[in-house]
Amino acid sequence: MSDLGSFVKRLRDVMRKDAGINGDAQRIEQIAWILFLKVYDAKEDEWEMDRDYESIIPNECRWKNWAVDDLKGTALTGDKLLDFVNNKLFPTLKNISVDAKTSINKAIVKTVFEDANQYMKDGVFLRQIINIIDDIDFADYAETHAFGDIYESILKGLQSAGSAGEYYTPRAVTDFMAKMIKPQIGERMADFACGTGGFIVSWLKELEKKKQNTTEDQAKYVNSIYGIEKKQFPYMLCVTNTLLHDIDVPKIYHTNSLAHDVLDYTDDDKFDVVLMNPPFGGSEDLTIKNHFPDDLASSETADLFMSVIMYRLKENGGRAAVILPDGFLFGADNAKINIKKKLLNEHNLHTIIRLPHSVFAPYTSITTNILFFDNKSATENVWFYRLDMPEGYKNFSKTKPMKIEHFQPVLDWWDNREEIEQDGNPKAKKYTVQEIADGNYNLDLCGFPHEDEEILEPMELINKYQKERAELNSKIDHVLAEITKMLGEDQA
Amino acid sequence: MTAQELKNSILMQAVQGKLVPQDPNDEPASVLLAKIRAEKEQMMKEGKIKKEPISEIYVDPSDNQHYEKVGKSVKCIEDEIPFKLPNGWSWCRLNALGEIVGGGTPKTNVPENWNGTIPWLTPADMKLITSKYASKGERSISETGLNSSSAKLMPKNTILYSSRAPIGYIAIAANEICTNQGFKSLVPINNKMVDYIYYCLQQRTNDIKKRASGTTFKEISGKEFGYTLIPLPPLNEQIRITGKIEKLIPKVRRYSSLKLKTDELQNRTPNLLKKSILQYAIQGKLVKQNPDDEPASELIKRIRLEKEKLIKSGKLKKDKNESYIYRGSDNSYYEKFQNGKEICIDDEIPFEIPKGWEWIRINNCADIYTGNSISESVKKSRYTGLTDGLNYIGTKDVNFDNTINYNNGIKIPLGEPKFKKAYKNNTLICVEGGSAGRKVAILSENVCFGNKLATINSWTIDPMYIYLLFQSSIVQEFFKNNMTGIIGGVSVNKLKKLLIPVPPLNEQVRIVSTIKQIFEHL
Repeated sequence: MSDLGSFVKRLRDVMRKDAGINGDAQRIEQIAWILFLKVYDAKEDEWEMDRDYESIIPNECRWKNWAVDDLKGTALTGDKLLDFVNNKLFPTLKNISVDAKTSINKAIVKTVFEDANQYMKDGVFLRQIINIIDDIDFADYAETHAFGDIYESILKGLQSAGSAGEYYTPRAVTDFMAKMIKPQIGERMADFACGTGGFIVSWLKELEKKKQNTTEDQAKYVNSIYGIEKKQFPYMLCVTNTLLHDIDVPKIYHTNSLAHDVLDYTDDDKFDVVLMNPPFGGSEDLTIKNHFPDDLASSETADLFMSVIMYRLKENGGRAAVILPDGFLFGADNAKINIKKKLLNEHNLHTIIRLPHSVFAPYTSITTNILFFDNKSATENVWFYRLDMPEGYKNFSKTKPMKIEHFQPVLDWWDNREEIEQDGNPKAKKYTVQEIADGNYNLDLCGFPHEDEEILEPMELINKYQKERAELNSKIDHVLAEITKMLGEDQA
Repeated sequence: MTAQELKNSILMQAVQGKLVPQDPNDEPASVLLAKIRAEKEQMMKEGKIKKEPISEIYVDPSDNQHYEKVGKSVKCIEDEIPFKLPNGWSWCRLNALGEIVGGGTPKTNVPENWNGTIPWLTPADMKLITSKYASKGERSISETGLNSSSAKLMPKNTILYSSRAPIGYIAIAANEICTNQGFKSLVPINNKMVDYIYYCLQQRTNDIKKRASGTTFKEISGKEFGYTLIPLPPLNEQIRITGKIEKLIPKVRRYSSLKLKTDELQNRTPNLLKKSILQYAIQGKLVKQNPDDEPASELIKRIRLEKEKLIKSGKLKKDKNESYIYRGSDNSYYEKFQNGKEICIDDEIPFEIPKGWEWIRINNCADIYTGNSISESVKKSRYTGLTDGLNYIGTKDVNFDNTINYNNGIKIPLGEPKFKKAYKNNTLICVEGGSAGRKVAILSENVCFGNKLATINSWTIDPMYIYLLFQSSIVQEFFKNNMTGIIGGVSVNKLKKLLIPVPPLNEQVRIVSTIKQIFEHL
């Protein structure tokens, strides 16, 4: 049994000495592929016991053959190790032969290593890192389980590692959403921008509570997840994360969810549940937009993901919980209005939770929202609930992150919904679809007062300004067009 | 384009006959005007209105010029005609359409004149009236008041027009009403024309203002008001025009509110952007780190050496709470004190800083102290009108836009005992009173200063960087969280504990110059 408690500290202490590692994101990238190989090796041991298993990794590149240090002094280290990793291991794994028939649990080796990076410059330090990681006994279920939490804390480090923070949704939020979506055995969930796999893990944790100890339930449990991640680094982390949670065949794919015609999706492509935090602020070009019907073809990434979700929910009972920024709620460009119309007319958007600021701090401090909807019916009413900053918190931070307990007020309110007013501002309120349509589909309701006390980052501020100005401009254009039309009417 | 400009443009279209098409079947305006003239003559015969010559404007077909016949005299008025009218329309004077009536104010020191049942209007009341109609003002008068003054009771549908302070407020009387002498009103002969005249007069207000007399306060006389040229359409067309205007007005109002929001957005964004960029800069995100820069940890060593030098030479008081901050192997921040005490200060750290930066308490790199207060009498008697000495800056001399009034007349002679000095390139900040934390400036000369101001006399660190820090949210937040007392302020001892992020010296310089460049654009 290894010393898991100081695992992260020991890795950090060694890596600090290596000149090749610059910053938290690189440190995690470096750990990621080594950890993957180690976890994969443990899994291969299991698979080898069950059936006629042939590893896709050539013998000399298998972990047990190059990484394990038998303390007899024969293990590769120093320059020899660096040479092996850089010039043999990486090229071999990157060039593994894979075709459509290759099973996922073998294909992932290649996809994980496609863009993996080896940053360390000192083979001695690399040996130390490998030994620390090799120390973990993944054959031990309890240790694997405990390690899952440690892995989570490694992933959490991404939140403050600059732009890599976009791959991580705080666990309090994913746990809350997974809980409210009420997973059932037999259902399949998807996350089309899965990042490091937070929603997948939260779903599995929640579903586990409902799992009976039968092989059928276990099979349904293991088959219940599906993820797509466009970027290499989080994809690698997600695959490892999923393997750690006992999913032998991780249906995680390294592709672009937006690069498929939405109208081509068949029933097989549809899911019972979607849990997602699409990337904000991205913009897509025509080649991507062409995969969407004209009226829904926004250039904003998050908008396009909303359409993907709507087209990939199983008919009559598919349900979703999605995190979206305020910009989606108040956005009034044509594509957004059409998306919101489709959402309200063809789906039941029953709840919008307004989250307080700094939930994603320090990566970003913008305010976000959780939209809950299903396609059992059209929307009649939308309930809004504003989750205020908890007592004693001025903001969330690395040392004071959001916790699942902070969601308790929502949980208390959820099944017993009442309108609440606080200091003259609505905190929980129900709006009819007509009211929303009359307001030009502005869903920025029951929001936070005194929003402008918060200092946004310059690019966010500029984006917000441009969005607001564009929205105002479009409203102005609209009213001027009406006036022009009226002036031109019944002219001789 | 402002909303007012939009409305004016619509009204201009309206009165030129371009808003709705003409209908050749409409009874022409000339016929309508003839009917009104006849009625006026009848009313004069019956003594209902004052007897006065009636104006008639017509176009002479021989020369196509406009002429006006008033009583017996005929004059060519082509010069007065502002624009060409469509077929069926005619020009007329406002006074041809009804009676021009003035107003008056009953004696204010006679209580019986006031608080009666007769509504009485002043131009000030018009500010609060947002709709087309006016029914009453703030005060009402009695019969006695009405009879004892030149206020005249006018019927419903009278067009009320303010003739001074300012010219141009207009409303239609919703009931019987009278006004003070700041109005010239039109009691129309044909009530069906009231809406059109209401809108037309708004368009004509620029012209009316031009004909007003007076130097300081412009006022239009009743006579001149009555001379206002009105472009008159056929009655049916008047109705069509006002119908269309009233459909457009709510749209114009919506445009107005959107434009207001846009203007407000434009106005507040540059400042927000400045704040945001400053924040970004002190978090190390604005300017790239250069791994070749001497790291801040080395800089801090030099700062400490300089501090010791200053203490040795007596320029700085010894610091009893000497401490230094370091990052542990668990990535948490710790502060170690002289007495050996060590605490974790993670909760005080507001944000992550890049590699090569450090956090320090500001008293390790700056001497912070307040100035001297001087009573008004001493200021006048001893320190006013001097030619030599240092300028004395009080809180009122520091402006919210970061500028300083150096030459306010108060100077302190060099060598005057007990007066503290602040030095060129020191940052000055108000620490007491209503402006605490909100007035910040950088000195371009040595000065003496007031006791509600504190100076940040720093060493080694780039003084411009210190100035940026003090304009940023880190100091704003600090003040917000540490204000005490009824009057409000932050003690210097507290301020000395301010945690500041310190970049490598080269990076400080880069940050300062980048901000300067960016702010020039804002």
